[in-house]
Amino acid sequence: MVYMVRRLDALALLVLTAVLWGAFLIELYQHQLPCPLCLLQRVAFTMAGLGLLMNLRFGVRPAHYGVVILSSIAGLVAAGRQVLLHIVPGDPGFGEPFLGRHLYTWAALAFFGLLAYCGVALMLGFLRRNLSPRRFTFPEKFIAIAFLTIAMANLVSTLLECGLGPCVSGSFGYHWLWPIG
Amino acid sequence: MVLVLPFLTVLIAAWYIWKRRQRTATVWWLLTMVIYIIWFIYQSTNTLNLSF
Repeated sequence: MVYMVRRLDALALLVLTAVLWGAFLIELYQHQLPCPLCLLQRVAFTMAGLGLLMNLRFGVRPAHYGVVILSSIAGLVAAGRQVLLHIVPGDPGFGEPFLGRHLYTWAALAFFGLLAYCGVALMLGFLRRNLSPRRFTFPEKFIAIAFLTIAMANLVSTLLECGLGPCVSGSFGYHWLWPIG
Repeated sequence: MVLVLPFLTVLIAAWYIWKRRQRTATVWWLLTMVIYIIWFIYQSTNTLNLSF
């Protein structure tokens, strides 16, 4: 499975490299010079690429995915900020759209995709490791019980509020306890 | 502010990966991240003289 993830990492790095080359060629051929926020997004893509490159060079490790995840979050923050800067209706946005979206919007989607990819790769790459269950320590047990309790409480309160329906009654309350009159 | 700085540090990190020096590469990646965060805060909190 690790071997397959390694191949996927190579593919992800290829896509990421194509994204960077695409932006660079648009800069050269369409004379669409990048703004400071766009440049930061290019740095973030390159930082994320480092994590994938580490996987190819040193072997698949969670720490390398950590590099990709943190870099993608940094890039998503910059791209998301740029999307929000141009979100007002009537704002033409920065630069020419590409396939119907501006480059920073594509960048935000790409960073989101990288984060999703890391989740999948971590699940696939480390499926067979640390499988043996262990006992909770006392503080861990307390935290786990608090967690399970709030999960159950949310289940019960949602059941009481929404019943088994889609929760579209329009008036919010514990209708199973006190039905609407 | 030298915006080209993170481009330099990230390239150095990539170079160290190429040279199989993982720890050094990670340190350079970390440095790039720190510069990135500083640059982003600068971009977000200062009035920039931009001409679109």
